[in-house]
Amino acid sequence: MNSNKYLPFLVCGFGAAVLTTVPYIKSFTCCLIVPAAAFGALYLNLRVNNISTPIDIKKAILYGFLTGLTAAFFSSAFEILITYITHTNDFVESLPQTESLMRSLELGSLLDQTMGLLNNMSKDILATGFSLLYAFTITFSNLIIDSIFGIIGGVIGMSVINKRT
Amino acid sequence: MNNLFRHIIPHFLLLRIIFFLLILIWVFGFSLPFFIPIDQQTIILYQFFHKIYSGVCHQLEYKSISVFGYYFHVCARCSGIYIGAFIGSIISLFYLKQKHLKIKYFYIAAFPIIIDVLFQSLNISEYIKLSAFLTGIIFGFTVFIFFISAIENYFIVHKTNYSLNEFK
Repeated sequence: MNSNKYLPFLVCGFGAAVLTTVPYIKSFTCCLIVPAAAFGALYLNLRVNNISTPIDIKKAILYGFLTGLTAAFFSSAFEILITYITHTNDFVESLPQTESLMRSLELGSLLDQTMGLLNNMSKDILATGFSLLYAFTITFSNLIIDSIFGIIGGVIGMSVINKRT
Repeated sequence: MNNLFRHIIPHFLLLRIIFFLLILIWVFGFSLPFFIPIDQQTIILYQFFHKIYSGVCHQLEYKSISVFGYYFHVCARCSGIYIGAFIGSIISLFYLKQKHLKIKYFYIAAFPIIIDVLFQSLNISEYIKLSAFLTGIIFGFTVFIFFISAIENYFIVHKTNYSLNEFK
C-alpha cells in the first residue's frame, strides 16, 4: 500500500481542521480554509509522488472531497472534545443573547418549543460537556459543507496547478 | 467544428444553469433575513440556516452586513465571495463562448483579498465591510469563472478529444 497517496489529504485536512478550531484565524480566513486545504493536498500530492502529468478532474474532485471529509471529521472531533473538556462553547455562550433577541420578536408558542430544544442541548453541555443532538448536528453539517467546499477547492486547484505546470 | 460547438453548447448551458441554481439557493440561504422577515413560521428556518452557515463562516455580527436590522448568516467577505460567484453564474448564462483563462487573472483577483486580510491581521487597517465585500466579489467572480472553465475544459478535452484552443 502506498501511504504517500493518502498523506496529502490527511495532512491538509487535519491542518484545515486545526485552523478552523482557532477562533482568531477562522475570523480572517473563513470559508477559504477548506478549499485552500484541498488545493494544498493536490499540490502536496504532486510534490510527494513526483508527478509531472496534468491532474485529472476525477482525481481533483476525489482529493477535494477526501480533504473536506478529513477536515470535517477532525474539526467536529476537536469541537466535541473541547466542549467536553470546557463544558461550554460558542453555542452555549450565545444562547442567552439569541433567546433575548427571539423573545423581543414575540414569536409565540413555536419559539418556546425551539428554545426548549436549544436549552436542553445547552443544559446537557453545561452538565456533562456533551449533547448527542449538538454533536450530530455539527458533524452532519460539517461533513456536507466541508466536502462541497473541498470539491470546489480541488477543481480550482487542479485548474491553477495544471496551468502552472 | 461548428457542429461540434452546437452539440456541446446545450450541455454547457445545462451545466451553467445547474451551477446558477445551486449558487442561487446558497445565496438565498445566507441572505434569508433580507427576503423573509423572522416570524413564527420562519424562526426554525432561520435557526437552521444560521447553524448550517456556521460551518463556513465565523458569523461575527460586527463583520456582517445587516439589512432591516437582521444580519446575514455569513460575514461581509463571504457574502462578497458568494455574490461574486452568483454574478459570474448569471453572466456565464449569457456568455457561452469558452475562454482559456490565464493563471495571472486568478492571482490578480486574489491579490486584493489577500492584501485586505493581511492588513487587518497585522492591524494596519480596521475591518471595513465594504472593502471586504468588494474584494470578495472580485475573488468570487474569478473563482467561479475558473471553476466552470475547468469543468467544461475537462468535458471538451476528454469527451470530444478537442482542445479548447480549437474554439478560439
